[in-house]
Amino acid sequence: MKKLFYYLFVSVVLISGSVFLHGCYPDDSLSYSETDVALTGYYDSVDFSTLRTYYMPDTVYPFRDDTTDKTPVEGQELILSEIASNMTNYGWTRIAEDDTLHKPDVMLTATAIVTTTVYVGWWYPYYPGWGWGWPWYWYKKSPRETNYWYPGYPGYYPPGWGWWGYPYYSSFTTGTLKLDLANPEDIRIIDGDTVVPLYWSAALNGILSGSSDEVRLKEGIDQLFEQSPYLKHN
Amino acid sequence: MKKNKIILTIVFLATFSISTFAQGGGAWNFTYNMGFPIGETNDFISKPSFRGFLIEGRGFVTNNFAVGGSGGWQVFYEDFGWVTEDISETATIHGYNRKYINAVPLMATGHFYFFPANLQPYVGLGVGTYYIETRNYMGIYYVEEDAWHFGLAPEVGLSIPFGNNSNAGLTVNVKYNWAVKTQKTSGQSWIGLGLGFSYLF
Repeated sequence: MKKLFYYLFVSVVLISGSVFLHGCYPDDSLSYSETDVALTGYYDSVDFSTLRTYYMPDTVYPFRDDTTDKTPVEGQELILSEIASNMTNYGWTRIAEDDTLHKPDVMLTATAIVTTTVYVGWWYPYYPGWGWGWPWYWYKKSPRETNYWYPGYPGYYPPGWGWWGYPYYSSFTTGTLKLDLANPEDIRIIDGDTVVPLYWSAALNGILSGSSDEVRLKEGIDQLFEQSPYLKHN
Repeated sequence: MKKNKIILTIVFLATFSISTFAQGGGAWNFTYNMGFPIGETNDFISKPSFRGFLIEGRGFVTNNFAVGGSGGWQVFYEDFGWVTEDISETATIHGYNRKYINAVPLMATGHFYFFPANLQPYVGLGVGTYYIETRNYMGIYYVEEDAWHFGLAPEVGLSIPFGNNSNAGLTVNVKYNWAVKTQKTSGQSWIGLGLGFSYLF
């Protein structure tokens, strides 16, 4: 009897030991939409009430591992129209690129990022050179002020943005839609680099389901604006 | 490294417990454990845990006093659904939030039995370590913290043998699990309720 209990004890300890080395994570399955995370941040020394007009290129810039792949991002029209309608709802006026009478206050760009599997990273998809030094790819030139619209300066996250330093872990192939609001004329020199501070940056990240889900994409974009009430003018 | 520590601790506790056989008389307890979060644990996850177990070996060194070791596992989990949180003064995150705590107490124990007879009420104290891993998920992303915490576990309990000549019985105990904070992680605490079987020898 003693032996029986001894063996029982040992086997339970060994089995449980091997299980708990991996931890127990019940109910950790998610639907595709439940993997979506919306993250937004703003530069707190910007007075958004003075900014009312924006220019948005009619292309979602694709950021892929294969940099030669220039095919348009799936759902591009939907993405841009949803962003534009949210901006309109918040009281912004979109300036077209051929408008020679008005110069927009800021530029809003959309980038679609497809990341390969990330095992351990920071909350924001970890790319060497991102954050403080990722290059702006201005592929649209303003007919009037070419120099302004094609600076090629890195985007700069001003101090106090605060989402850096969040060690997140993930092992999924994800897609990210990133929106950046900046004034390309607001040029700063930071540590010897010429940069443009981002006034507002938003990221919508989730597992790529293979089929584009319009509702999921629209709700995600709406959420980015919903949690950024400081952009609202009305 | 972490695995080595865990395995060594288990081996130590197992041999420590087995050595008490030699003293003549003791008990093995196998309990199903529930955990009710309090303090900082309650701030993180308030939902009670119904996933837990504990195995204990005790050997009597006097008529009333037993020493031994215990090891177990308690899993806390709560689904917070869609949440929007400010992660700094200027940054906001929105996502599907789930939180987990995996806690593994490994203790050396001492128990005092008031009436070592048919009904056996006892008080006890465990001293040792809690290995605690917490995860805070936003969608597929999570922040993980893990640490070995120094911990104490004062306890009151009752063993009820099935009959005069039976060497098996029921056992029930209430335990205050207290894992002190570490340099990088906060403290954790919960009230544990254990129900199970005793094998007396």
